[in-house]
Amino acid sequence: MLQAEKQPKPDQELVARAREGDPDAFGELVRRHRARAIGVAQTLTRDSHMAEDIVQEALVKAFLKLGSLVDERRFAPWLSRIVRNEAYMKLRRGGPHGKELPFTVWTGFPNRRTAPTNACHAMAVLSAHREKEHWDIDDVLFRLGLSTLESARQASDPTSALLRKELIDGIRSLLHCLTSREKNVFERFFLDQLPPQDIAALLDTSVASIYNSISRARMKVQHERLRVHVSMYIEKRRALGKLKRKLLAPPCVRIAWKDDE
Amino acid sequence: MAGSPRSDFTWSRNTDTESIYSMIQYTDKKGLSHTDVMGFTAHAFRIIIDREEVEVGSYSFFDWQLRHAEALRNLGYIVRTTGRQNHIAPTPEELETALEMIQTSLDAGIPALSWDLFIPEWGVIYGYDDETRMLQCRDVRRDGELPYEKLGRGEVTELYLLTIMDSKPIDRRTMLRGALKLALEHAHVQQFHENESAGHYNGLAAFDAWIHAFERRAASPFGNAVNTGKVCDAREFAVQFLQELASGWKEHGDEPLRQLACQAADQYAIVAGNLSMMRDMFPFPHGGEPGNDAEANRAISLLREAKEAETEGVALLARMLELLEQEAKDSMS
Repeated sequence: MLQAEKQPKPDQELVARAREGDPDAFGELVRRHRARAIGVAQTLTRDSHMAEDIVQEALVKAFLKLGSLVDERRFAPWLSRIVRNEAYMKLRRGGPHGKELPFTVWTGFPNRRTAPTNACHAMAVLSAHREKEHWDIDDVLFRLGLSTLESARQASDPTSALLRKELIDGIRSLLHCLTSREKNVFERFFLDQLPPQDIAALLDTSVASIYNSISRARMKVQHERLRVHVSMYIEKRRALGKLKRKLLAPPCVRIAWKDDE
Repeated sequence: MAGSPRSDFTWSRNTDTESIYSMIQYTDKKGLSHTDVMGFTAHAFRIIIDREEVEVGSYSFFDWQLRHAEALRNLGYIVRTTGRQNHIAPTPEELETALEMIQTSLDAGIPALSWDLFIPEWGVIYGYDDETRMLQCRDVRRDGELPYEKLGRGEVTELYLLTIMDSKPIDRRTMLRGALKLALEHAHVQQFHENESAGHYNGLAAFDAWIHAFERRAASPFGNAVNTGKVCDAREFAVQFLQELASGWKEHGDEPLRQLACQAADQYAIVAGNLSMMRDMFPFPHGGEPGNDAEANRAISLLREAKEAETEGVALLARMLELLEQEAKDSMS
């Protein structure tokens, strides 16, 4: 734990060193955050053995995916998320709560302090709709994160990394709005960076339809970003106690345009 | 030349002025008529034409934020504007700014001016509901709801917004002086450098641009019909505005001003009359056959005559301004 360290280095520095291949730095991160990770896993599974297994797997994943962590200071919440993901995967495969628990509902976690039991309950409710979604968000984040780092390094431009981070944040909501086919195309185009011709061959369809899917997916993502932003804005207004609605008397603009189509 | 036959001055085809007029009705200046607003914003004296093909958007080829703020300032308003005229949809942050401006203005009881709500024309937003996330809007096409997220994502995907922040008292004389300055600047000074004007010309030069398009038989039927309608409407208001000035300004010593206004009204009546003939030749929306030799030649001669009259009219406006400037100078000393 943090208190045990004599001269603790910030997580940020350790993450940076671990990324450069320093195994001791990652070991240090593990020591710091393992207990809390086990706590998270235990609360979700209520099974200490399973919790151990989950954290073990989560740490391996974290090590492999360190590249997808955009903000190096956010290691702890990021690790917690991977732990939760692992826990839900395990539970779904047949943990104490069996199949009634779903696989992933990442958008359901805007607030990390949400009581996990409530979250489990909420997810169980949603599971009926989500049972068939087998798309691994961490997988996407991982790949996207790698390309983020690469492009940030190439451009040596911190703002482009930030923009990408925003995109990553948007990915979760993206999952909601795309059809599985669009997800597939989106993934291959944006993440694998395959040309549309290759995707068309892979998915056994026409290039035109791939272009369609790409453009539809892009528009949906944009709209989803807007929607989320507007929601946050309205939430902010509500918190400030602003008016919810206002309607003035209709203005005297004359509706004179004739449809000529 | 007979004056403009128009008798109904309760609405305008120039949708920005029309929207601005409707917004004014929620302020302390609601006594201003349509004609006053067309005149005092100098929109009655506006003409912008693209020489390549009289493209449909010619009338809107100006810096909205700058020009609308300038026109409204002349009516005593302090305004706030946002947006970009570049066919790029707003970012989430830009949309938020716009929503904030709209809601602030509506909470204060005044609608907001916007663009491309249901059709690429100016219109007004006069209601919002955070729960349904809908804006209540009206433009010349329709009255209805527009989702928050659709603002700036209409047919041409660009956001424009103007709100009235404050209204200062201002007298008609001051407004007239300001309007004449705006009208003269518009008549003589090109708003854009040649390299960024994309072939658009304003004021007197716009008549030459229009003639050029007809000479090359390149006028777009639809664009020509739309712009003929807009400019003709504006000049009909110019005539009415100047006539009201000539007959209504009864203050002692205003006789020279009234006389000049009367003469200017006659000149603008020629412009309006010729443009209304063109409006009949090239009716909206199909626009007739501007590429036909006989039609084009007739249009060219009508436009030449109109330009001559407009040149006279502008010179008379300049003399009216001189009078008012002199008067202002005298009252200062």
